[in-house]
Amino acid sequence: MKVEEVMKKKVEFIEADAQLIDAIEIMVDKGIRSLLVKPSSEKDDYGVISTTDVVLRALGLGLDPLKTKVKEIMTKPIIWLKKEVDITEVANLMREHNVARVFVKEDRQVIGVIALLDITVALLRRKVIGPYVA
Amino acid sequence: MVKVEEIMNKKVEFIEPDASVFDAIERMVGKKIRSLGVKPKEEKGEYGVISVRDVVLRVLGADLDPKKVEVEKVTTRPIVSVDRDVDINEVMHLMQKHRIARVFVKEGENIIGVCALLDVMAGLLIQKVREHYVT
Repeated sequence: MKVEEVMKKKVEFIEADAQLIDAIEIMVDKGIRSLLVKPSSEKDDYGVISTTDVVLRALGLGLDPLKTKVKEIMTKPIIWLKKEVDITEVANLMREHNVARVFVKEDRQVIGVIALLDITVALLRRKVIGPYVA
Repeated sequence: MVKVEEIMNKKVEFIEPDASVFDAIERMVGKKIRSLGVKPKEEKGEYGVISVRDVVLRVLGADLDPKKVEVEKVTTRPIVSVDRDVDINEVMHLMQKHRIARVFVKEGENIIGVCALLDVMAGLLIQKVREHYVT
């Protein structure tokens, strides 16, 4: 089974120059744990800002989210794979890089994302790790 | 000020330390939650926690069979906890200090809630609104 079959295609974006408070509002409002940070030019890479980045690198250290920019605390570059990759490789990649989500790219564009719970559900449903009893 | 009891999740699920990681996965997926409290190994013992991060990074990603790994093996023990009337800024500080994604809320010896990263972020927005209307 390929990653394109289990990835979430809806990926929310934010600009690198946006204020941290804007990122927090979007995440809380939509109940999502990460935002993809857009490249600032053609040659630039994508970044990602997660709830872990927000709390452990900013709020927990007392930084003011109204005076901190997304680009100051984001993680860059992102960890990604191709859509044809088998889903059994996703967890290994997460372990290798110690990340909670990997992105799916096609022709330099991000087309999806798979997070910890997504890959766990997928492996369970596909009986890669045993029968699924709902 | 925003107290942790205002934003905590009161639904905390528990699992036995000698259950399999597979059981933990089924419970998390079935309930759509990212962590489980792990009961103490003996009476008077400390509670622990197992998260979906532990499951993926320490079991599935390490190519271990979740049916053959006990929950205890990948449990973080003891949990980090606070009283219900603690300020969320203190909770954020604890998360940063211990590099953890959730803090439990205790009343006496009982766990009455759990507060994760996204919860404290929601709490921060409430705090900003309150500051705005006070000043």
